[in-house]
Amino acid sequence: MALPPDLVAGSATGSIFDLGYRGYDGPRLGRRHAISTLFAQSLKWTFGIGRGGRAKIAPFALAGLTLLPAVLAVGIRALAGPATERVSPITPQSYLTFVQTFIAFFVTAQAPELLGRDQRHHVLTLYFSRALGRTDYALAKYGALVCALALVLLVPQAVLLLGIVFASIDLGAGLGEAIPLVLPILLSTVVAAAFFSGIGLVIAAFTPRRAFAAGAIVATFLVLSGVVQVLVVQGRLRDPLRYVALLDPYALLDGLASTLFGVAGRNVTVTRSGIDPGIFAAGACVVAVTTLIVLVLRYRRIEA
Amino acid sequence: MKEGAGTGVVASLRRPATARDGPADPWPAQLRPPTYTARMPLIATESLTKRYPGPGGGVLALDALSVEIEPGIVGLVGANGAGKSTFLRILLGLLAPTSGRASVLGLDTASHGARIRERVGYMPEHDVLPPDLTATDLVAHLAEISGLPRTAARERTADVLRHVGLFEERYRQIGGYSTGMRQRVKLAQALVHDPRLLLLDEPTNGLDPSGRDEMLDLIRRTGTEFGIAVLLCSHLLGEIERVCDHVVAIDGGRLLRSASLASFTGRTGTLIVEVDEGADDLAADLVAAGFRARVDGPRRVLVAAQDERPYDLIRDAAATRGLALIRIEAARHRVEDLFRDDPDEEGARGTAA
Repeated sequence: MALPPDLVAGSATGSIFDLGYRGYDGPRLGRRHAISTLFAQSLKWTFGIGRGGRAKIAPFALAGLTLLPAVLAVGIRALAGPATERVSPITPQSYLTFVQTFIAFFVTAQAPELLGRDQRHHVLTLYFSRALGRTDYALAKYGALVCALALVLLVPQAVLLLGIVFASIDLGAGLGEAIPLVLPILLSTVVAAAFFSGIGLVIAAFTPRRAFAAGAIVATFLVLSGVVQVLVVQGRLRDPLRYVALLDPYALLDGLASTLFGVAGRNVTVTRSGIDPGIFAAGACVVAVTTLIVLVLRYRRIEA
Repeated sequence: MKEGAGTGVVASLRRPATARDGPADPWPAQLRPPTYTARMPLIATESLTKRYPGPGGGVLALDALSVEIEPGIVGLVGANGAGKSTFLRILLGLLAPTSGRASVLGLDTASHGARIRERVGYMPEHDVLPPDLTATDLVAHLAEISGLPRTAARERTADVLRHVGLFEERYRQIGGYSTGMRQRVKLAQALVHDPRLLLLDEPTNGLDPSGRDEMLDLIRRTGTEFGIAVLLCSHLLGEIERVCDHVVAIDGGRLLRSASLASFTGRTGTLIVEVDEGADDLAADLVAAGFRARVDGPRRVLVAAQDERPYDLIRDAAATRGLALIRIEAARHRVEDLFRDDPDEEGARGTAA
């Protein structure tokens, strides 16, 4: 074989001129590294980090809107003091109700971005011909979106809690009010994040076209909840039919929050259906788990 | 080529041979394929069969294919739909065979797919590149997915992209690349984790003639200078002839032949004799002398020649009749002959008269 002249000359004088191809003798970290790499990259992508400026607008705007009720609530509490309960409806117990639509939009914008792109451009072939398995891929993407949503939800709730602690008359009373809320907040946030992510990613996994996927996700959250609510409130449904209320995604989440915090439900579908909020809470968990299973199964069979 | 100068430089470029399999291999013991040694066949399949389900019994993509492939630059040749891509995907463990088994680097594809994929580079046939990433970002990300730590992934990405001939463009988004540049990115992502084996599926697809030459040259160098085994799939025999040492030919999912390129293009046992005129007379003389010969066009005679005897006779007959003898040439097989219904058809026709 003929070597490029510069290569021969470089080696003849002993200087490194063109190294040519070099092998790799360093560590190979295998599958676990592949999963964590994909997870980290997807989490960054969810917020538009590492992409252009335009990709950051939607996630950061929606995260900002999610924070707004918490900031408002803290402000009101600082002004109104103990009378807050009567003035401001925004409490840790009801917080999810105020931001669920922002979260739905967040998922609408980001779930198709996370999955559809790799399907549209057949990038899956490049992933699956490496150390990464199909289930690994699905779990890494799912984990990334769940973490992103948990982050978006937890920051405002932390602000709410701090507001309670520092706006109270004395620190002890504030802590006494705040600490029992920590566990329900964590639990409801995790389930809600899994719930939103699962639904969004399953739809995105079956509809690689971004516009279709986004439309279907919006429809699932906004249209479905609206339609079910009208049916439940106006329909005067009899016994088997009134369980149609369980199809309302927001009702499931409200049932979850009211069960975990031990307060009355706020969602009209929940209160008017006459079904125990615990059943809605169980429904939310079932949806979260089922969508994850469907997602994994989808990626087992997906063409790549 | 100058053997001494060439090998000296190449040896200094390549890492020590022991690094691949010997105890110096820095792989964690549990990840290192422990069973593979250089003496094993690189790829071995045993009555590998793949049937895609569908109406009318589905499509039989691979039909009891048994083949052993040794390290080197191996061409896998077959028409479109012969089962080449299916074969590659089974080797990668991406697709399960309907029956039969396959091993790559001494590892069974059914049970050790993940380990195989760690040490194999795959360049798919179709466009697989996301348009909104730069070549650097994509290849570095895929290097990490292959298990390389972040800094090593970045370094090797720069190395490999330079190697495939992408320079300043590598910081631009792939969406703006030409077909040739995309093919280079696809080759780079297959090389970035320093695989032992490269599986290339139609790597010159969509390239113009000069792009093809460069790609084939790059592949040839990958196989010879870098010490990486290559399995090159192509439906273009010319490419296989230019690059490969060994050829595996498949057709309709069946193995036609697996042999060294030299044996594919070896002598056929037929002499082509070209004369200025009087081809009929020459053929008649040869037949009269007990040889099988026939006229092939106004100036050519084909002679079956198992040994050296026809040469003298042809010379004498031409001299006796005063014919102008232009050339006597041993006909060689071409790889194309493989895909004729009968590989010896040409020879058979030559001796039929």
